[in-house]
Amino acid sequence: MNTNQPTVGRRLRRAEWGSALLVALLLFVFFRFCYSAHLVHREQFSLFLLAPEPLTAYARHPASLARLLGDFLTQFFCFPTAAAVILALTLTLVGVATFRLLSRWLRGWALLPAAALVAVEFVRQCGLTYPLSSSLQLLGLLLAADALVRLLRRGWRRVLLCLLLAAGSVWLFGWGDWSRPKGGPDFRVEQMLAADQDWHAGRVEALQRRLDRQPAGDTYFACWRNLLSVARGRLGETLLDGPQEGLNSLFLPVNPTTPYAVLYAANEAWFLMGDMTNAEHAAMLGMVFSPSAQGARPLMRLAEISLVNGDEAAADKYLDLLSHTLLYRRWAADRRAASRTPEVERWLRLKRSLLVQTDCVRATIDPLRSLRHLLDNHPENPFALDYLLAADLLNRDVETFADDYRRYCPQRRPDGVWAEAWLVYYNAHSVPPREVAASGIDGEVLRAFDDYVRQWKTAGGNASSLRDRFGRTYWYYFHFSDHA
Amino acid sequence: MRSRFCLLLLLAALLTGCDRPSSSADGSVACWPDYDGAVVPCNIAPLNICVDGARSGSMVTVTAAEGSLSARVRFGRVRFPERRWHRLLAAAKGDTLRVGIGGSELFSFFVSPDSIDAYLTYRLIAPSYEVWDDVAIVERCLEDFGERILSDGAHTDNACMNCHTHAFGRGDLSFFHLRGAGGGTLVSRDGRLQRFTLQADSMPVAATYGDWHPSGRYAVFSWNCVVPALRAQGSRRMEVYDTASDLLVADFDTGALRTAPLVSGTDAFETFPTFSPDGRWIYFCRAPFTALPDSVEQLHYSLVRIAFDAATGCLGDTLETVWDADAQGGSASFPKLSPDGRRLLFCRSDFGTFPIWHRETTLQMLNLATGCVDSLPQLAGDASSSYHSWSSDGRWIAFASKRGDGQYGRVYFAHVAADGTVSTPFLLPQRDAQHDRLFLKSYNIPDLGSSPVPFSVRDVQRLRRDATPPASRR
Repeated sequence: MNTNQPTVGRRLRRAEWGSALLVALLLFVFFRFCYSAHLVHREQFSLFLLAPEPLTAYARHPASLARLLGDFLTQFFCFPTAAAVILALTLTLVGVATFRLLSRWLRGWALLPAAALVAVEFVRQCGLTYPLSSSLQLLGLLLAADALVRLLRRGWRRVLLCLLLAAGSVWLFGWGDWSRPKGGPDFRVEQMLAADQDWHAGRVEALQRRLDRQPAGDTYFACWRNLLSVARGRLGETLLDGPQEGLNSLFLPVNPTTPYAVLYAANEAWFLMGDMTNAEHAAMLGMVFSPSAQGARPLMRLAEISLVNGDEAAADKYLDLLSHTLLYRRWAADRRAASRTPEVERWLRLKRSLLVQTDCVRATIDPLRSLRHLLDNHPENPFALDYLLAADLLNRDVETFADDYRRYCPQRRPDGVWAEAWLVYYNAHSVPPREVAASGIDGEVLRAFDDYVRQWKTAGGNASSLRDRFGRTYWYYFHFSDHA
Repeated sequence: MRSRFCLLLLLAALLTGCDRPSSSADGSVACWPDYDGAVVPCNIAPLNICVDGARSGSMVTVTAAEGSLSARVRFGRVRFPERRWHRLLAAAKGDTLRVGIGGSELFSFFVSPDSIDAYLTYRLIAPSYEVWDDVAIVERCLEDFGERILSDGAHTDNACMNCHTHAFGRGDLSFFHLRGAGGGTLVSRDGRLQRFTLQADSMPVAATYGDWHPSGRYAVFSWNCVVPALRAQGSRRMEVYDTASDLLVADFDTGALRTAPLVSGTDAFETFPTFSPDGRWIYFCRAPFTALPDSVEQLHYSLVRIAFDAATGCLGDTLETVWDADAQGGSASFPKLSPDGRRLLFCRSDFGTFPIWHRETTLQMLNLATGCVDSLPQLAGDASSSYHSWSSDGRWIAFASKRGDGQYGRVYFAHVAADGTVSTPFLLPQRDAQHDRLFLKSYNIPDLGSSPVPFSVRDVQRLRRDATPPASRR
């Protein structure tokens, strides 16, 4: 009798569980504190409907159990801690199952392929759209293979049972997603998603801090900075705090090549400004082009847009869907006409105050026309106004800027970048100093402009000598920016 | 232990999450869809319904003069057994059936002795404005709930596809367009699926809307430079207009494309052509050229026709106005003649040419002999009705409507009696009656066919692949 066997077995088990615990902890920490936005995003663009038809539909497709479980668990990804626990557990179990299966032959060396498989699956799970169900498929097949081996070891007579088990496993867990794992964690995308989620959750301070940490020159984050500034009424002060790339820094692109997550995010600016058609256009496209062509978050936005428009029937369509989910039924109920809360009513009144009363036909990529239409209906719309003026300035079109300013806010005392732009205009039109002084522009700004003009002439058009003092002024942008 | 817990959790979620019939305030029971007063064909699949306010397990009974059948409410739904349903309807032709629960009547419907063409093709597409993703053309059997994909994005590299059109309800003769690399107009004819490129050198785009000549040799098309634009107000959403459009006739025997000066000038927009059942006329919509989009609300299409000689494939040299937009007010689109040639069903909008995005669009029936227009108030809903087709015997029409939520098109049917009387429409029945409430795609261009089309999704895939240069294939 070999008295070492129990000891070896105990050691193996200790190694197995020790490794598993360590891996689980590391995975949890990573997904919770370094990569949670990806997981939240997946939940936002998925929809698990608790209704007979969508539930039974799982049985008609391959990997039914894996997909059902995966979609069910994904709905809890809106809670970052739960998401990290679920994913860490799943990946750890993949490793444990692999170890269990292979340790029969490889003993302790089975840790290596187990770790490798966990690593591969980890890299896949760092992708934007890789579903949880794919890892569950893998886990299911490993567990089934383990059960198969156990059965076979008990005797050849169990072959039929094994075949049934194999067939059942393939039906329940599918053949797996054998696509090559790509890249690994993408922290830029993580920050992009996190910024979007900060905005969605109303975490403005956190968003500001996040944006402050982003590298200058990134158009996506420039759009968020500008949106946040507009929402706070500070765009005139902050427009040139960072590099801008013309209109691309104000409006996220909505075209067939735009990634769906960016498409969807493009709706936020329009929704803020009160252009519900443009908002719905972007939100709908973002949803349609997402992996499952549906999602709780776009449905909520589409419902909100319909409610603001007074289109109760369309809103009910989306609210019906959300009422069949675990986590959004309350949200949907609070917005039904029959059970609308006072808070929702107040919010609706506020949003409706910016709705246009006249119609127009505009191209899908004509933001300036949309902005002017908003202002023609509501000149007091602060968001549309600041965006329009910013668009004019980023296009280096001070003539149109002056026209728009006079048309929509003639009584507003120019300050910040608006004041700087007016000085460019006055200078171009040789407006007498007395008139310039009477415009209400702050004396310091006037003096700074005089200094700029003097130094610009002295520098002979050399940007570097002006950058330190004037790099954040509109004058510098007007002269030296490449974007218009 | 953990797995048991998870299973319990799942079970609990399913039980708490699935529909519980919610009692209405006054305890009454309501059902959806609304089939009350509908005239249905004797061969239609069961009119399954959602029942709100009824206890699970309650019995819903369909009662005829002779015979009845029952089904229980489960999770707020009722699914009538198919075979017994068909037996009941076969025995109840010309009879009014009543559907009730617990002694109360929910609704009643009339079973017409007229059967409907058993097949319906439609496009499933998300309301994604000017772009598309994962579009599919599907064939559905109306006698049961069977669906078959004829073409979809998964087999065509996500190509756009549209307008599957039967020739006068014939399953063996149809076409649809497949866009992009390897695409064209796919024509199912003489048992073969062939690809045609319906774009002459003078045409900026390929053929768009079209219809068959009864001989099966010709089809008439319009080519349209379509521009989608956004509206600003309320739920009006989109305005889609043509910046240019003309007509052409395709000869599938020779591959020739023909046009005529009267239907290809720059002084007018021509669109939505269709042949008369006798093949002697092409009916289409025509509007004088106007600057767009600024004057889109002055864009009014009339219905006109031009003669066609099947022997030569040539068009006539005069236009006859059948429905004058200026005199009648509004704008016509999508004319479709009844198989007997006596009536013309068309869409009427306030202006413009893309009826599905105009909420006010209604279907109108023009009596070609008298010139009288029936406004068909019984078909009117709170959103657009359009893209209609006739059954092969002219007793039924199918059309798409966004009534209900105003966003997602669904298929409706209505009976047309010999005297032209049109019945209350009813919604395409589904295996699970809640399907339409949860489905996020529109049913587009429903087209009735008397038999299944002879090609499959694999045939389309093969045809496209063979036409695509190797470097272009993914």
